[in-house]
Formats: sequence, structure tokens, C-alpha cells
Amino acid sequence: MRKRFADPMFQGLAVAALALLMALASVSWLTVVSSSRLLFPELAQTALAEASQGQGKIDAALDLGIPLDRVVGVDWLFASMKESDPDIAFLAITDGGKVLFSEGVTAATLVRLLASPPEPASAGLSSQQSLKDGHLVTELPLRSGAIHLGHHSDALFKPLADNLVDVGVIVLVSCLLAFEVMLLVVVLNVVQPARAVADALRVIAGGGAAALVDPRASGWVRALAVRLVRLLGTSSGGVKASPRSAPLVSVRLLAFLFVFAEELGRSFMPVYAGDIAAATSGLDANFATGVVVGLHMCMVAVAMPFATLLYTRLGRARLYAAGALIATAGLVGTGLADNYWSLLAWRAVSAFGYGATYVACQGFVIENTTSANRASGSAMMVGGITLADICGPAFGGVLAERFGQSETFIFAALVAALSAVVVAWLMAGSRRSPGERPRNVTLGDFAIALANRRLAVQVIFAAIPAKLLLTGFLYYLLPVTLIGDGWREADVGRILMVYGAVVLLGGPLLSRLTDRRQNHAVVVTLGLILSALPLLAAPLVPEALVLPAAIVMVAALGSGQAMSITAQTSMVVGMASEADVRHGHAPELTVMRFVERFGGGLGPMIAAPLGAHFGSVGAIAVFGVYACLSAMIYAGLTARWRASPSEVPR
Amino acid sequence: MRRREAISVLCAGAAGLLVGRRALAAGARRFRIVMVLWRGETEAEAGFRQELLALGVDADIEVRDLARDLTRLPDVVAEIRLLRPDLVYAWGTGVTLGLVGRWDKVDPVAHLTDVPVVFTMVSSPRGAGIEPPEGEPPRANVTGVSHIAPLPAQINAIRAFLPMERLGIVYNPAEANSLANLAELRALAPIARFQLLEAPVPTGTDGQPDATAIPDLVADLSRRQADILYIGPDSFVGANRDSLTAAGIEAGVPAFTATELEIRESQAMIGLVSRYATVGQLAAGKAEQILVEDTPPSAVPIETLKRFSYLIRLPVALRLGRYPSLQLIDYAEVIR
Repeated sequence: MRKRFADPMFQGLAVAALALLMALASVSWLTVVSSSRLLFPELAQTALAEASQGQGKIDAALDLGIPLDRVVGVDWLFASMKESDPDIAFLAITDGGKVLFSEGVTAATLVRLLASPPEPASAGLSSQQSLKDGHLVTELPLRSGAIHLGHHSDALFKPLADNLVDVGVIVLVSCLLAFEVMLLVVVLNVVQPARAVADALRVIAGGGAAALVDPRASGWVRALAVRLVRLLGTSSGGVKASPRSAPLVSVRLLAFLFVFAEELGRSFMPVYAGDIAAATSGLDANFATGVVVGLHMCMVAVAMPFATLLYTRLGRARLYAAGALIATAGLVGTGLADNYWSLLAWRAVSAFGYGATYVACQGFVIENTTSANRASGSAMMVGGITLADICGPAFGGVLAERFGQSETFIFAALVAALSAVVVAWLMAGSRRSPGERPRNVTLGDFAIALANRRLAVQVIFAAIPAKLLLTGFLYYLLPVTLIGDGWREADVGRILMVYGAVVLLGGPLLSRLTDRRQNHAVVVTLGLILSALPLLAAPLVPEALVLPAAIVMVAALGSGQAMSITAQTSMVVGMASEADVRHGHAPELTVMRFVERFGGGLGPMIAAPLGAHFGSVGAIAVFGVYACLSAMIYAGLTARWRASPSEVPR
Repeated sequence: MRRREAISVLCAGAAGLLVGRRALAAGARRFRIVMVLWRGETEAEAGFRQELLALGVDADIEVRDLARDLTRLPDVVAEIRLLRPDLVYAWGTGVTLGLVGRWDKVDPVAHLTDVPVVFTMVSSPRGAGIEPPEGEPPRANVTGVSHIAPLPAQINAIRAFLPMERLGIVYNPAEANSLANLAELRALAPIARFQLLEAPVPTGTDGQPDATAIPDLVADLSRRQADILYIGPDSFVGANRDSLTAAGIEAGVPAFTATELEIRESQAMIGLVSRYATVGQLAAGKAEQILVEDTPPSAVPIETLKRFSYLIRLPVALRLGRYPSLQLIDYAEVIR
């Protein structure tokens, strides 16, 4: 039995099964909560209480001797009731069949609605309530006449639908996590041993059994090989156990975990920071919030060169573990911060951790790949990050709503701590190879890059606007606007999820399009315009269409970014000298990434004061205008490049 | 949320300590206060006494009531000089001016200059010249409390009830109080976008303002389409409040008042007023600062209240067919 527990295959399956089990447990729990809530009677009860509150106010006026048809302020009453309960559809006062006041609905519609036959209702409605024409109508008598309060009956089912969607998100995240773990387990325990066996057979077939003395395998394959060598009678002098080598695929899980931890807070971070800033900073709350969100990105950009320096000293595994632990501390601090300045400090700490783990993952890819398969190695890491981008905000939104925002940060800290444990397990005993390490951005790179006018155009009019849209709109203005409009953290999380999903699904398709069109500048322009155009319409969106409009904007942003990322990379690599590219390094690209990352941090800091001045919806439009203008200038400038294509490369 | 609660508990604790210390300090000494009143004790004095007790200020209070006769004031001043109290409490504009004079015309013989004076129920301390104009240093021994809401708040209060474009005012041009208030209204009119319709009360053959002219003045304002009559701090109009408000009701024009009597004891329809007791409490706070904390009166600001009561006299509203909105009914005090 114990042997079975020691079997890595069994362990992997157990972890995956446990993840699924947890997902299912959550599903059951949520379902139980939903059904036990007895939504219908509860909502009907609330509606009745609201109607009786209205009744009380009108009766108070009647008691003063004010005639029913001369009551002043029914519109105010409706507006104030609707403010506290957006599901209220109408408020009307009638006297003997005559409509005296009707708010939220025309008198004619009201008469028709009240006259329509009631729909069969489930239990839980009081005798004064009925379901008519898609509304829950509550009618209460006044001293004279009657008050009618209508709620949209769709609203009755909204909490149930919300619960189901939350369940879906949890199941999705659990399945993806289970998949990541399974993938790793299969590679570690099936694919690698199979390869080792195949290699061994090939060696034996070639008559070189002695070469098996130091097989490139561990665990049972290694034990088998050693026995085989003995059987074949070859002397096996001092077989040393080779360290377990973590397969490249493990970078997926590592990248997934550290990004996932950070993304959990994405959907509500501006609101969380805003509350603390308003209470304790003494600064303009909008600006202070923008700084919190932006600082994280700037700090990541700044932390990465430092992390690269540490890389040589610590090696990838210890750097990753250190980063993960620093991020753990940062996230715990973020969750417990009781004033603005400590929040700011803890965000900087977790940014440093994030930067360190990122560099460690990059290093892992570089050490485990050759220039031939480096692209697919990078794709592994990007795959993990993208999955985390998709799952993190949505899952974090659900957590924040169910358990609280501070608690979600604590959970994120646990995930970061888990990633430290995982890396310790995966890379136990792994030695750092002395060869390559992630390249650092150097002053020399800047010197080369600054001398390149085309790169300046690329960065100023394409890369930075695209990044500002991403961080200013997606990470700051969108959550602030939606939560300000009364949407839940989980709703915001799911909308942010759309971005990652579009990039993941649309990315390959759009980059193929880019490859077909050899004119990258046009693709970059189109991508930027596609991301920015829907934002221009932000101020025109009616309240009822806020959610679909937000989804369209985010999806357009995702497609636009997916289009331009590949094209921009190709263009910038094209600007580098051939010698540099052959050495696998383009200073122009390194510099662009650095400037982009740093510029990204400014997005929220710019968005916040704009939002304070124009309102957050206005600020979204301003961002749209800015990006469109940049795109046009970019198009104009790059059109001239085509006319004179041969700017001298250094 | 938990954080904020913890902070507020801490603050409350700190405040408790301070209050405790003050009470201890106050316990060490018994103060002597002279109250100079215009027409006997009102709710303001009750509020003042109650608040002093609550603040732990131990004081003997001696009352000097002028019974609406300012000629008695010199005797009271002389007596105060003999008694040498720790503080003088003055009620109303007339009494206060008599005790301390205008800021720019202080006569050390006639006025108190070395005893701290805290006034209450002064409608416009600056307009009456008790408080120096802006830019001048504050007076060494005078501070106090006004009972009138700021004018913009008064205009908002009127507009919460009815759309107002033309504001009619009957006033006594012989009263400094009234003229000061009128000047402020004139300045506010273009900013708050209303037209000020003025109706000064003419002087009768005896050289006094002619009260019999009031109904005609109101009827004239009604002809000029005044939406509402404004009653500010004007002793003459205050004394003739019944005649003014009745003429208004006759002409179908309601009245707004910034002082309590015109609505509690007469027929103004709406009022934005301060309770006398609350004004007295605020004055007690200032007295405590001077007596217990040894703050010089010049460092204690002259203030009005932060909150006022919105009053509606229902019978007048019903008679005029002007009904208060549901929102107003929610927070106003309705006098039936």
C-alpha cells in the first residue's frame, strides 16, 4: 500500500482527483446554498417590504390632508427606491381604476399590464402580489386609492444564474489546474521514461551497452538500466544517481501559479485600493488608486533587471522560490494593509516577487531549450500565463464576492506559497547550468535602441498606446466603472476573462493573418484602431447595455492586441541587426519590452485623474481618442517607411 | 470595516480621556457668569445651562433681565464691573451692542473691554458691527453664536418647497440688522438667479415705521408676482409678523422665515430655523473654551450652527394649496 502512495503516477492522479473533488464539492455547496435560499419567497418578501415603505410615505402625506392627486414628489420616491433596488421597474398610484401617477412606465402600459391575467406563480407570493407580464406586481391599499410597485421578474432568477456562472468558473479553473498537473505528471512519468527506454533500446541495438552506465533517466528507468547493464555483463563502475531533471513542461505550471496568484485580485484591485485610499491617504482618492495599480506594473519592470542579477547567484529554482515567498508576503500584506502607504509598500513587495518568478521562469526556458526549440519553450510559459490571465480574475471575483476582498488576497498568498512548494519539489537537487541566463536590459541596449528612429516611432505611437489601453482601460477604468455601476466583482472578473480567452483563441488565427499580410505596420495600425474604436462609443452606451458593451470593448481590445503583438515583434526584430538576431538577441526588442512594461504602469496613473475629471466613462473615451490619434500618426509615419524601405541598419 | 471601527473606538476612547480631564480641571474651580437678557429666559438659556453641566463646568449664573428696556443697560454694565464675573452672556443684537459696542466705536467708559463676552441670538454679528469685517483682527474679549442659517441655505430651503424666481421682502430701512441682511440678499440674487422685490416700510408721522402700511406693501409685492415673502432678521417685521403673514395668505403669497417665532407663533408657511436650545448649547461650548481651556475669546471663532430645522406650518400650506413634497415630509418638522 505504501509503495503505491510512493508511485508518482498515483500521486499525480491523486492531486488531479483532489482538485476535481474540490471543484465538485464547491459545486454542491453552491447548489445547496442556492436552493436553500428559497429565492422566490425572499424576493417577494423584499418587494412587499419596499411597497409598504412607499405606502407609508404616501399615507403620511394623505394624513397631513394633502389630496391624493396633488401629492408632490412621487418621481423622487420612485428614484430613491430604484436607487436602493435596481430591479424595481415601476411605481404607480391609482384611485378607483384611474391612474394618478405612474413612474417607470406610461399610464397606458400600466393599465394594460394591471389588466393582464396573472401568470401562475410559485409559492411564496403574498395575497397582494401577482406575476403579470414579466413583472412581480405588489399592490397595497392607501388611505384612499392604491400603490403598485413592479419588479422585473427576470431579476428573480438573476441570483440563481449568477450562482451557476460562479460554479462554471470554479469548475473551469479546477479542470484547467487538473489538466496542468496531469500534463506534468504524464510527461514526468510516462513520456520521459518512455523516451529513456527508447534511447536505451537504441543504444543496445547499436551494441553500445556500456553507454547505459550513465543513462539520462531517473527512478525506475534508471534502476532498470543499471540492472540491464549488469545482465549484459558490462562493468558498471560507480553509477552516480543523476539528479531528477524537471521537464520543460513544468514551466507551464510554474508560470500559471505565480500569475494566477497575482491575477486573483485583478477584478477588484482598484476598488479595494480606492476604499483604503479614500479613508487613509489624504490624497485624491482617484489618483491614489491609479498609483496603487500602476505602481505594481512599474515595479515589475524595475524588479526584473535586479532579479536577473540574482539569477546568477541563486539559480532558477531558488530565485523562483524566493520570488514566490516574497510575493506571498506581499499578498498577505496587501490583504491586511490598514492604510494607504502600507498598501503601496506591500504592492511593491509583491511586484518584486512577481518580477523574480517571471525571470526565473524565463531562465528555466532558456536553460532547457536550444535556439532550435526555444520558441516552443517560450510558448509553454506564455500558455501558462495566458491560462492564469483567463482564470485568475474570474476566480478571484467569485472568491471576493463570497468571502471578501482581503480574504481573496490571503488565498492568493497561499497560491504563491504553493508555487514555492511546487518548485522545490520539481527542481529538488537541480543544479544551475553555468551557461545561459536571461539577458538583462543594459545601457548599451538603450544606446542602440535610442539611435533607431523607427523604433522610437514604434514605441511611442504603437507599443505604448497599446499598453496604456490595456492597463488604463482594462485594469483600471473598466473595474472602476462596472463596480461603480453596481456590478459584482465576479461579473468584472468574468469580463476580464474575455480578454485572455480572446487572446488565447484568436491569437494564433490573427497571427496567421499577420503572416499572410507581409505589411506588419498596417496590421499594427488596424490592431490599435480595433482596440480603440469601441472605447469611443463608451459615453453613448445606455445603462441597459453596459455589460454587453463592456464585453464587446474587451473582446475588441483582446483581438486588437493579439493582432499587433506578433506583428510588432516581427517589426522590431526586423529593425535589429542581423548579427544580433543570429545571437538570439535584439536590443531593440529588449528595450521596447522594458519601456512597454514601465509605460504600462503609467496607464492607471493617467486613467485615474482623467476619470476624476471626465467621469470614468468619459476617461474611457479619452483613452479611445488618444489611441486612435496615435494609430493615425503611426500609419502616416510608417507609410513613409514603405516609400523608403531601406533605412540603414547599423 | 473592522479597521475603521477599531479606529473610531480608539478616537472615542481618546475623546473620553479628554472629556474626563476637562471635567477634572473644571472641578478645581467654580466660575461666575452674568447673563444679560432682553426678554427673560428663553430656551437658549436652558440649552446653555444644560450644556455647561454636561461639559462639567461648575458655574454660578446670575441673571440680569432688561425686560425689553435698553435704558437699564448702563446700570448693568456698572454692576458687572463691580462683580467682576469670569464671563458675561449676552442675548440678542441690541443687548450685545449695548454691552460691547461696535467693533470700531468701543467706548471704554460705556462698554465692557476686559471681561469675556459670549453673545447668542445675534442674527448678523458682522452686519451689526459686533464682529469686525473680514481682514480686521478679531475683538479681544468678544465671541458668540448666530442663530441664522447662511443665506444660500435659506434660498435652497425655499426652493426645496416651490420653484422661486421672485423673492419679496418687506423691511424696516431704519434697522441696521435688516439693511445688512438686505445687502447680502442683493448680492446673492444674481448668483442664485432670483429677482429681489423690495418693499421698505415707510415712516409714519411720528417718525416711526408705519405698521399699517404692511398689508398694502404685501399686496403690491403680490401684484409684482412675488413667489414668496421673505422674513429675515428684522425686529419691526418680527413684531408685526401676524399682519404680514395674514396679508400674504390673503394675497395667496406664502412666507418664509429664518427665525423661529414667525412660524411657531405666526403664519409663515416655511422656515429654516435653529432651535434656541441648540444655539444656547453652542454658546456654552464657547464659554467652556474660554473658562476651562483658557482660550482667549479672540481665538474662539464666531459661528452659526451647522444644522437647522426645516419647519412647515401645515394649515397655511393647505389653505394656500401649496403641498410639501414627500421628500420634505420625510425630514421637515410639520406644525399642524
